[in-house]
Amino acid sequence: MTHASSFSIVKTFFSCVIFCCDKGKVHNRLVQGPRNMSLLRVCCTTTRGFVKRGLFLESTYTACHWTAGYASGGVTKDKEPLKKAKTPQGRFDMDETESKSKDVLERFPDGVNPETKEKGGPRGPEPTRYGDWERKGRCIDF
Amino acid sequence: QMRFCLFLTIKINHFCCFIQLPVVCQTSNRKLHFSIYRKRGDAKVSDAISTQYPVVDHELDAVVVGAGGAGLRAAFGLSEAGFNTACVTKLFPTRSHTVAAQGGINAALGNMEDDDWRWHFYDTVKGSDWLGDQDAIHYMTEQASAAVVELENFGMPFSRTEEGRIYQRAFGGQSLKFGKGGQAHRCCCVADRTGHSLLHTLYGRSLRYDTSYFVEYFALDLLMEDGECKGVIALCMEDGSIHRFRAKNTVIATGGYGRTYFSCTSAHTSTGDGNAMVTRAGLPCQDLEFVQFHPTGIYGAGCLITEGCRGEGGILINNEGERFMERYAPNAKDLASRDVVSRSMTIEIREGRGVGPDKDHVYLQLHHLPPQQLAARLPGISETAMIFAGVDVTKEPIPVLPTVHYNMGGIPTNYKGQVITHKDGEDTVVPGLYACGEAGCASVHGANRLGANSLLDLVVFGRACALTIAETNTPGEKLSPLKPNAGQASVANLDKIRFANGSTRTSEIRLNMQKTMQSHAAVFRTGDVLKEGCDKMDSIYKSLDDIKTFDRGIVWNTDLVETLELQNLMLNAVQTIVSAEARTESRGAHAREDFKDRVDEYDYSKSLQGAGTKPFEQHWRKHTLSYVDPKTGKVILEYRPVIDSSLSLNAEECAAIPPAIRSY
Repeated sequence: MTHASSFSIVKTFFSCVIFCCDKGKVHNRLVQGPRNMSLLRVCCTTTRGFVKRGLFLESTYTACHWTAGYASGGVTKDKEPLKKAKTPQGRFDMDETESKSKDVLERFPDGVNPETKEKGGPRGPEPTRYGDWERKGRCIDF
Repeated sequence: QMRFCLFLTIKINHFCCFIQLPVVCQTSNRKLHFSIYRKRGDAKVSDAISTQYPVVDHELDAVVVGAGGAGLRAAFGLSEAGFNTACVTKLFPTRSHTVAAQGGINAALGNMEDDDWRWHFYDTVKGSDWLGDQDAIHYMTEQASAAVVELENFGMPFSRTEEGRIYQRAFGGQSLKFGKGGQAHRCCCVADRTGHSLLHTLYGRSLRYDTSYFVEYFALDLLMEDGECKGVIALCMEDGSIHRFRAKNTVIATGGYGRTYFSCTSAHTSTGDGNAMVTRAGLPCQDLEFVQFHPTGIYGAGCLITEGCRGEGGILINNEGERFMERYAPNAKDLASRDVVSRSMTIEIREGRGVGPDKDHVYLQLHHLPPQQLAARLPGISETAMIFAGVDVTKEPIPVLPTVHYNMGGIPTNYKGQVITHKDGEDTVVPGLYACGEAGCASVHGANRLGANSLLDLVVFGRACALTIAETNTPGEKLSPLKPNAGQASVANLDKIRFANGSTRTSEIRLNMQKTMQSHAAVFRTGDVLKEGCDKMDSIYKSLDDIKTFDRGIVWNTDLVETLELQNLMLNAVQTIVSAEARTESRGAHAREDFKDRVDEYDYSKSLQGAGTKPFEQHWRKHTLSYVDPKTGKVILEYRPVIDSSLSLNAEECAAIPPAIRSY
């Protein structure tokens, strides 16, 4: 067997391996296409050298590992999370970080009012304390 | 051979797919609540009214107009009883104004202390200033506990005590032992959103039954024939088609008409459609002059500012910066009762000392109070003032004016929910027509509504309408024949408005009406102010003939719908102001400066022995029934006596309450 023919066998073997790894992931192939091609080229160049030195098996193992790794995990590295477009802040808009802490009427612990022992009742001070039903300064019923 | 068997099984399976096998194998005798094959095939399209407006006819057992608290309760009560019901509503059910009722609901459950529904009955009768029909109030207060328990069983998450019973708080002028036992705790609530929760609970429950919902259908008119109501005609806003819902029973639950006034807490959709439909059918509306006001509503927004603001030291000032309450109530000043404060504010505005570019409101000043005290005692008020008034409450005053909150009047009904007219001194039932909720006037609120009673009114009378219909009818009854061109006048009106080409816009006429009602038929009522208002309203009514609309389409034509709503508002407004002008006494929410006393058949402030009783024409303890001629806007008034006997003839069970002087 000549060097050229053995090299061609290895090349076909590698392309098969890479193809198998990528079979289920169409978009990866499209994205990773150039990279895979370069990887293949790298593998080929390394193989050419390693075949001679007997490091062939190790290099095929590493190459497969890299290919598999790129096929599945490389997606996250490449894609950044989509950021929501920020509209100009209006007069009543609150900062996202502050909104939770700015709630004026706080929840009772476990929803139970400590003085009246009412469970699931209105938050804040007693709404009927002024004779009408008050909430946040508004009169709801009278 | 195996291959043949396989082929045969496949063929049989194919064949079975084409047979409609029933979903449930009906071996049991239990009647199911839902129907498997929904009946929608009854809708027939015809040219019976006009070739321009093809009409779709539906045949049903019952139709409910309006899907608020009362409408939903009536609709699924009817579906539960097996009737083929349609619910026609111009809004999605969870968008009805009931969702804004955040106060509680009263019921004598007796969870906080010993309670009796008869004491609740007494409180409501007294609150109505003895204008409420005692049989209807008896019915409502007796059914209250059952109604609240039923809601709780539907899944409404009331707040609870430690033991797990429904928590009740003191609210709304409720007392124990017929007013002699101190404050009663009767108000049940769901955190701070009882109405919202009620509406969502009822809507969720109604989906278990097969009520057909016709959402965003604007009901135009009732189909009346020979004094009997045979259905409703409505406009589908989505595609502009006209629908006639033929049914033996029609329930009206369309809500109040707050939008006749410039400042009100109601939604823009509270336009009194039900009252107007009934008026156009030639039937009367009852007690429309009783409109409940609150003194401090935010100008423009319509939200009410709590009395606690004045209780904590807030003051009302006019454009001169003067604390004007000192002149009207030297002792109580800003802490005077609500009606005194409302009247004082209105007098200041009428005398030209109002603030703002139109000088039509006053200021509520809170910035002289220390901000920490304000935030501690009234948490959330700065947020409210900023959102609704756009002011920083620690620096600027809040613009306020008296605001409409509730309409006690409406369509007259008996305690069962059937609409009545008064002929030859007798109450006669209008066959086929029912009303409940704020649109109906049973009358439980009389001259003044107590807090937390209106949500109770909704559920009790919604259920009452459904029960009455179920008692007297059977599902699937054949409908009486209807003229093929029934509803032609409504469609003609629709067409006229759609192509109206006068000179004033809908919004201008509406604003004129609202401003006139706010300045003439609001809290401050005297003979000449009301008379002036009646004349102005008359001319504004006539200006409806000269209206101009812009949208000529039929699909989602909001210009057209707003104009129809304006016609409805106008009918309500003229009846309100003319009835107010005619009633020469002060009772409950109708307070007149020139007639400050309540005029009953006896003078209840003196001893009744040997006192002569005034004849019916000379005293005012009677309901006003108002009719309008829709073409001219002329209002005719009649009167009907108050029902004083409670439902039971047994005085031990529930005695009727004789009138007395109302003081708190």
